[in-house]
Amino acid sequence: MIRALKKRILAGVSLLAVTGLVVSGIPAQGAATPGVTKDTITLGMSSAQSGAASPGYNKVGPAMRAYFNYINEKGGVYGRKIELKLEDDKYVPTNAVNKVNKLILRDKVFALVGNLGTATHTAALKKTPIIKQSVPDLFVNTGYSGFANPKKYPTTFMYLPSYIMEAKIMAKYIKDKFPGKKVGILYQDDDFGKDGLAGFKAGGLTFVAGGTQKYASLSQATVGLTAQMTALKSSGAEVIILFGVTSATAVAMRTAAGLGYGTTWGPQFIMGSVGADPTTLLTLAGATTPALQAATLRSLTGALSLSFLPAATDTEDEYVKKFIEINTTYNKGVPWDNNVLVGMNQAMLIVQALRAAGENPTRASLISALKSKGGTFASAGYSKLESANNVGYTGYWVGRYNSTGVIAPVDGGKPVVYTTDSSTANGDVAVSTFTRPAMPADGVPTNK
Amino acid sequence: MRLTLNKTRRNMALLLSVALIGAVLGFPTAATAADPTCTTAAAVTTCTGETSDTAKYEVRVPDDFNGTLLLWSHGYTYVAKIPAQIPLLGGAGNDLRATIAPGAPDSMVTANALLNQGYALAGSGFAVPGWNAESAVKTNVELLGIVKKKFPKIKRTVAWGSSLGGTITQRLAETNPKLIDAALPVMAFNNLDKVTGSNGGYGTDAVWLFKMFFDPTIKGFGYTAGPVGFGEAAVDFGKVLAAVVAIQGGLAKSGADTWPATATLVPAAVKAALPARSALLLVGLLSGMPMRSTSFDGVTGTPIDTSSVAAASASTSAATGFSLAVQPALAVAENMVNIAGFATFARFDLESQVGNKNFADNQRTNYAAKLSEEEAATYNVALSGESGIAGLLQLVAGFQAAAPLKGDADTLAKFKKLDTMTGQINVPTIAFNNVEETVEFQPMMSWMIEKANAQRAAEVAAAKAKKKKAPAKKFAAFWGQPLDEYTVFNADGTPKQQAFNAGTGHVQFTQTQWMDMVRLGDMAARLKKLPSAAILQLTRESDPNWYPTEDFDADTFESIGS
Repeated sequence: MIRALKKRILAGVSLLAVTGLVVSGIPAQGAATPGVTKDTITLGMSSAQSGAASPGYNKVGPAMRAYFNYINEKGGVYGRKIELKLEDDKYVPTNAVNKVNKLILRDKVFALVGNLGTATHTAALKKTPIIKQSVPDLFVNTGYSGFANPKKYPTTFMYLPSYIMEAKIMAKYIKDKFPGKKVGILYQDDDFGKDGLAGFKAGGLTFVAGGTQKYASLSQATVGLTAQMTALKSSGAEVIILFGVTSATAVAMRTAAGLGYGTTWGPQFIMGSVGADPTTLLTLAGATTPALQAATLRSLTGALSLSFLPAATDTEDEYVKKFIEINTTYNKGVPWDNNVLVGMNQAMLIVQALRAAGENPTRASLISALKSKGGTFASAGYSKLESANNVGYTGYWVGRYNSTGVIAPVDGGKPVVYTTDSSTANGDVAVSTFTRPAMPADGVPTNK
Repeated sequence: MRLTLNKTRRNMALLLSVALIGAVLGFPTAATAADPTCTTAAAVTTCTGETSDTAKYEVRVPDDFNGTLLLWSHGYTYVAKIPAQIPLLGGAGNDLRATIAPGAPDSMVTANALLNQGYALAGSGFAVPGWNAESAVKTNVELLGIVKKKFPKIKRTVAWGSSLGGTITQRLAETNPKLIDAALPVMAFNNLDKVTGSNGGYGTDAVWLFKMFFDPTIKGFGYTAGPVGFGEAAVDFGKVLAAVVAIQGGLAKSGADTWPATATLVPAAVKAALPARSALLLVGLLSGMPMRSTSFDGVTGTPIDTSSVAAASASTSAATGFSLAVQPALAVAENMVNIAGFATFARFDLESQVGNKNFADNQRTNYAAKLSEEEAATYNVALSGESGIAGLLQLVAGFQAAAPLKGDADTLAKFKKLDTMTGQINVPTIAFNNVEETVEFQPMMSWMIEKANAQRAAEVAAAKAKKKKAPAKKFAAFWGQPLDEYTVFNADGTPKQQAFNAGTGHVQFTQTQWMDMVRLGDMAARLKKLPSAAILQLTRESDPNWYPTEDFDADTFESIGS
């Protein structure tokens, strides 16, 4: 009797063991790469799809998915269709940890792509197994230079030029074009702002007394920026750098209009690239009242900004033209803007990276391919992608907004692209000699 | 009749052999304790009695007993009854009732579920309250002797227990491995010194920092002996609670917070420039406290008002602001209260056991280094930006320079002797903890994992040197976790206080998780080794309240600077 019971228990244990293997799909030794089947490659992205920081940025992920769908219809990557699992972290770091953990541990994605935000991604890198499981972490949507650190974050690759690069280029431009003018700045009081300040310092730009104003991230949404903008006005700054996220630029601009911008007050605004999408700025203002939208447009008109991609309105650009076409068919109902351009361009880079990783990609082969070949990938970027060192693009051009919110190169003609690095030891900036590769035929990469 | 006779003979033989084995192993039989009193009702035999040290015990054995005895060790109980007028904890303490399963004797849900599955349950209330790890192990050894003598059908024993009960379980496995077949230490409290002693530490830092920021009249350390000292601890607990309530009240209501009037060491200029919530959050971060609590998930924003475009826009901003700036501080507030009970009453107990002097010391603690770059970035908003962080850390440095905590060296030496857990794995052991556990925080489990891994590496190396097969793996770790979002709101938009969310607070597991633990422990006891990796993994993936891999990247004592 006892022996019979023992037999039943052991049989139960064995059955459970077998069931466990079958049900959970736990990979046996030498099993397939996570997220890759014979038909699909599953990628994951955590981004602000809702919440106060989401306007504009929430279009990047769907734009990436639209481009992947386009490629899938063209045969995918070596026959595999790309699936993008998009999680909404609401720009909250703790939530980003939850979402990235889900993507890696439950959804078992092959790679992370386009994760957005400095604080959110810092938290994810600290509290999820990105590093431990060598999960490729491609093209993070933030310019925080600390992510281009292969020793600390070996699998993380940047996309945007760093905020240090941007600040160095901006510093040179301001010193060249506005010599002797008093300069002020509004910046985010975190790693984003810290990076920027380091770049301005390296570039030798100094700020007028009382002209260095900061805000705690997201406080612009509830507290507003009246105190900071009033202080900037009082400082006598003639050039004001708005080095923040789009929602902060929107609040700053409408506040400036209220303080007499365009009538009794006329500083030159220069906006950082991540906070300058005109469609989003006007939408954010318009969400409240048409009067605020008008005020924002008044502040925006004549403002300068830096860009690393072509202007979304430059429909003569071959990349922009093709991406607009894809957006119309595969991302229906989404108004075309810089954010969609960013996402489509990013997706095209990812497809090339996946192709370069080989017909049977592994996480290691993807990282290796990106390091060795990333700099040769076709993309809309006007500067080189320094993925060999986990760095993103390396240059910017300066543009000016007109009264309809369209940006064009500040000196007319073709954009002049300035390039630099993230070193804070010097402010060296040069005109880029980079030649952008041509758009692949029909927008479909065929690289190896 | 024959059958009965045969059965009796067999039972007598078994009794004899149990007695013989008992004599050989040297565990005490119940010679000095009275025989248990047993009754049978509803197909369960219940026996009660006292061990020789006067610990009350209880044993329940179902008629359809499956052969596995579960020996439960309950957690810490305060050394005396806490006065009824003390909020939250009034009436708790000095609880020496026999406890046979989690929640028992107040709730028998888990106990009954286990009895229904054929398990026998045993547990005592222990002889003394407070930190009693070593005496409790002796009680358990004696209790096992009594139970095995009374119920010779017991084929295997799984020891389990939570919090201090986890420590007792692990110590039982370390010192008496032949008495049990598997161990399930749940949140075993260890490293007393690193938690509360000579270089700051979680229990020390949380109270000292809170005291300096919010109420310097909190005594916190060096309580007077006897009832006077217990009263001092009670007063301290009340002060922590009052300060937390003062901060929390406005925060939960509107996101605006007030420095409590008792925050007399913080200069007025700092109070004007920085919110109290940022200081409270810093207290939590510098002491290694979880940033999620039973009511606050660190994620969920306040409800969105969709009545108009403008209202939706404003409430969306407010929701994001609440998630980023307020949620973490509210979580720390709730966790601080949870810790405060232990940090005051348990510290009184520990000091009493080593001569009623303070042994905690933070003279060498580098508080600035305890805030990692990643934490500073993650909680930048809640800490009021880079400048807020710099200002608050400067304040902490000033507190430390002006009034460091100085521990008595001799008392510290005595205190360290209370810490007997070695982490040696002698029987198949599955350890459990929660990622947001407030009291037995992550580093305690990390330490167990490190010790077990080191032991395993040494055993494998030794086997390899002798060209023998490596012994079976004996240790596995399970992490519980809360769901991603669980904060809920009242109709007026204020967050609702919750009593339970698995993975948070102190020893909070779902019924399913408790049953998972027993199932795995029983399997280990039957197999005489851990269940297969596939079964362990299947269990982890079967429930969202388990972290889905063993490989959770937890804080360690080293990583948090303790």
